[in-house]
Amino acid sequence: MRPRPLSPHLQVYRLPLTAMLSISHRITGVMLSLGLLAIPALLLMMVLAPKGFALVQAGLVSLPGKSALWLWIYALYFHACHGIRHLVWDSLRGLDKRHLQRHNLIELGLSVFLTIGTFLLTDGRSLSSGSSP
Amino acid sequence: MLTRHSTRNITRPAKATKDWLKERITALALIPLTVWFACFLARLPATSARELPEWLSRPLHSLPLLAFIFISAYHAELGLHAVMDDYVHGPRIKGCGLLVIRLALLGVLLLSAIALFSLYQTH
Repeated sequence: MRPRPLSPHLQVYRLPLTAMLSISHRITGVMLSLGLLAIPALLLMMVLAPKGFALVQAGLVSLPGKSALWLWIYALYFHACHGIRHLVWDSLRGLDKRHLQRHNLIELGLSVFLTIGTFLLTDGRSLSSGSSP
Repeated sequence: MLTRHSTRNITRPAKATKDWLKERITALALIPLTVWFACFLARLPATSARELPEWLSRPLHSLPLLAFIFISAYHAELGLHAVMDDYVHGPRIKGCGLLVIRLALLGVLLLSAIALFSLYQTH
């Protein structure tokens, strides 16, 4: 018996942008779930080991710390933007090829725009300056 | 034929529909909370280690954070469940994975709430 055909051959198939965004949505979703674990860790440190927390806070000011923080922020915005895309798809809109291509660019553009906007509005401002973040 | 063993940890259709809806409802709630949380993260480097507990001790600040954590954890459980459905096929290992995910997220909720409550009480 001939072996059954295998599909899809991901290694020889160039993924369209829509598919790349789709898998990125999954990957960022899993990464963000892992990031969620960091929140109680930091909060507990604040309560139980303020000195240790001061070290972590100092790390956030360093370049690797800031980079990690901004990657986290970009992942949040990207996942949110593609999530909104899913909500649009759920309403049976934007499923044809022309819209897919355009919405891909809108989605990417919006996630970059939100990240840069957040940077411009918050850079150098501590949480205590002003009532809400 | 599907045996009892092979159908273990396969989501039933009625539950799948509910989960689909819950994923969307939590997603909608998370849109504004994500913007809030992103701005919160962005302002952490400029906030001193002494200022932050003080800032978080106010319910106006801790409640949105807690809402973000609770709804995110619920959304993450639904999302990770969907990922497991697609890539993990052994019923036993999948059951273990789902349990680990649930316990980890439950821990996130409880510990965050406890930490924020104690900040509220000590400041």
